Amino acid sequence: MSELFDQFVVEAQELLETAGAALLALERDPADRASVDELFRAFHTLKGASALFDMAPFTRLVHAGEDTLSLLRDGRRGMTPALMTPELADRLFRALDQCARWVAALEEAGALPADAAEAAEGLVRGLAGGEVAAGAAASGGEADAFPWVAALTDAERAAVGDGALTAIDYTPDPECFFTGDDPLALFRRVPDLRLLRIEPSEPLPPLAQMDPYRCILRFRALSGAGMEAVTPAFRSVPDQVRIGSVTLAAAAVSPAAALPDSLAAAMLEEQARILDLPGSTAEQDSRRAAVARAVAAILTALGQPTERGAVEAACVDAGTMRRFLADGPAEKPATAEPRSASAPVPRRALRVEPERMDALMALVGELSVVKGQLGPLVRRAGNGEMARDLKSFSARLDSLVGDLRHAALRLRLLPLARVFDPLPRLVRDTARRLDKNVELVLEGAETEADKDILDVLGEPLLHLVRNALDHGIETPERRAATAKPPAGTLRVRAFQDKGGVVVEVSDDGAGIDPAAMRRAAVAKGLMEPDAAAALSDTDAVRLVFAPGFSTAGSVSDLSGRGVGMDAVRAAVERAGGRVEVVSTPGSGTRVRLSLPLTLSITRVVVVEAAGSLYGIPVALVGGVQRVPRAEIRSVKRAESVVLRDRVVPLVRLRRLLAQPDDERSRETVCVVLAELGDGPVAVAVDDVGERADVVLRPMTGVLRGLRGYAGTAVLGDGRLILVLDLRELL
Amino acid sequence: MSGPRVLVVDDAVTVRAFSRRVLEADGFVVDEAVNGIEGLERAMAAPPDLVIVDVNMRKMDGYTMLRVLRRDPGLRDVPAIMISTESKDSDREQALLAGANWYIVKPPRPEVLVEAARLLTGRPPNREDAP
Repeated sequence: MSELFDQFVVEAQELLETAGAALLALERDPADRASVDELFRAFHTLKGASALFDMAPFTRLVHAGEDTLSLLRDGRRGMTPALMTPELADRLFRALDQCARWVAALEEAGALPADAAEAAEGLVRGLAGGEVAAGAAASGGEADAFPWVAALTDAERAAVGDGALTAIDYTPDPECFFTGDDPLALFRRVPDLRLLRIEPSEPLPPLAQMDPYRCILRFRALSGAGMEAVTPAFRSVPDQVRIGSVTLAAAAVSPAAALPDSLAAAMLEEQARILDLPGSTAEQDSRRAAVARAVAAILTALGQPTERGAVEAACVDAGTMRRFLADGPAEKPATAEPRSASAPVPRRALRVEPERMDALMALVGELSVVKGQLGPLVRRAGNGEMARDLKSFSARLDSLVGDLRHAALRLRLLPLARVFDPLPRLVRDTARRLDKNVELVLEGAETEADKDILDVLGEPLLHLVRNALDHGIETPERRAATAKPPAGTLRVRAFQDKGGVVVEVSDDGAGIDPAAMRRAAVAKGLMEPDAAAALSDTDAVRLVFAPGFSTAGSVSDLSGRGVGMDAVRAAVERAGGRVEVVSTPGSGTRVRLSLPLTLSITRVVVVEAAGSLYGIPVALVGGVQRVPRAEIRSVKRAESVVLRDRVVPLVRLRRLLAQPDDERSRETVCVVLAELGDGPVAVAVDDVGERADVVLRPMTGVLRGLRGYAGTAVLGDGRLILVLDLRELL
Repeated sequence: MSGPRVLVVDDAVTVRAFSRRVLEADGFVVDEAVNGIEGLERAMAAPPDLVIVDVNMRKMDGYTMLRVLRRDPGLRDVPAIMISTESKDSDREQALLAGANWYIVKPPRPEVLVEAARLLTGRPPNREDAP
């Protein structure tokens, strides 16, 4: 059944997402019938699908959600969709969240956590009207005090039977083995024990850390005996046990659950009944046709094939049919029923494990590199006939490898919707908590990027959104005072840009004040006053990405700005991307994340310094330029150069790598403009070579401790380069 | 494969997969559809020997699908099982009114589903056979 189970996990995830989106829409517009239906259907489908497995608490919770929604939908018990209050939405969201956690647990461990029944019970009560259970007395005895009783599996229910039972909930002292208690022995003394469940009372530690002398189990049991008969067994541990009486209703048995033998009889009787159902002549005619065929089939199945005409003649009303069936059908064989036809197999999306995909991608990467080594070989082969063949062979291989890479890359591309999906909920919850009014606009959710990139993007994006809500968008009062519409707009936009993907988070909030940033930088001792004053407004705003920077007047529980922004920058740059921020005080902030399309293959600019080759990720390179030596200004040891009308600090790669300075005197210096989060830096190198796609390999062994390198890579011609981690190096 | 053809119409992929597994294991040929409209399309393209229909589905629900099915000259007599999570008599009645021959409460026990399918397609119950 595991394949089916996996399918359930996937389907449940999708349904929970659908439900979450519908709930958000419904909360915005309670009159939105389509969303009520959508939400109801999601709960309904989850109920049906989960019931196929042994996960009663899950089914119970989604069932409760479905009930609430059906009241809402049908306007029963005075409920109308207009009653979709934020509080009810909260309760439904909590139910969805709980289900999502359970699905994660199901995917991880294959079963619901041990506390699922209780968790379900609390949420179910919340959905049913919110009356929270008062702490049930130790032996007061109500079903509420033993929520797990209501969530017994079908098999357990069948085993315990129904009627009045005594429930026992015993969590032994972890040290009980030392005090001489034997929990299991206690249960042996319980009369008419019908169910005994032994569960971990806390998450089990890894085997190696398990302390066998600690009892971390919980015992739950049902007995058919009365409370007064059960209680004496637990006399020694009154503080660790709860005993109460519960009543189990008889499980509803549907007619279909009857034994197959009577199934045929029940079905035949049902066919007779159908003939008496009301309806138009046309409806009754078609029902008769269906009943005739069904009855003929059932009789054939029972080994009493009957002429179709005789069956049809009996399809008048229930009485005639019953008599016909009672008299025993005629002996003539019926026409052969089953038709043969080949069943078209429905198309399904192929789900591939990520590891396999990664392995394929790594191979494609290696193949690209090995293919690159063929180039020099071909050049060395000269001009003979074999060389010509080799050349054409190499060209074909080139294009094939290119196509293969492209195809493999496409396999891994997923729409950004995956990282956008959590945003509406996040914005809703956060805005509600902050009492702010925020309209979220998502654009470009269909933009695709490699799944690794999506993984990188997820956290920073959440952080930026939280930041914008927390610090960017003002409270409605504040906005009214500045003649802005009361609802702030948060726009998250994604699009493809020269081989990479760009995500922008912009708000129409207060913006970042460069003057405040300068003051803060000085106050925090991060900068000298004159250095801060010399910063351009753009560079001052960029200080938000500096480590340990925070401009927020008060650090809320949502996000402490500086630390988070630094983390955003670090995550994005680690993935070979870059972060930019533009802000206009009073009218808003825009943060732009540019990321490569994939992590598996990195595009680098190859540079040379002191006879060795290095790579700088293209994403960080704003330009390559030759600068006349005379234009490099030096103030003490620090050098700078004016590039594109900006004064940019200049560093020499040789010095960064602790190599001797270039002895050769040159008229011009080769400079790579590196765009780092907190401003551009000109990196002087000996020479700049080609741009190359490489497979980045992390440093291993003794090299692992080396700072300043992102990894090693092999160029197409087989030469090794070290890929620089400029941020670390600077 | 030449067993009776069963068309399973349900919007839950897990339920469809469950039915397919259970029925195929018993020699049925299973076709699937995700809603009433698709169910009708499939039924018209290749008339099944039995349809098993869920109630609540997007686009077209099971009731509507059965009503349309019963009006189609080529499909009006195809035996139909309606399957639903509701166990109330009124739900059962509504299914029969729409044109179902039998009603099963979800989740179906595999053997019950198979037996019902066998009976409605004329295959002997409780016995291994290959028509």
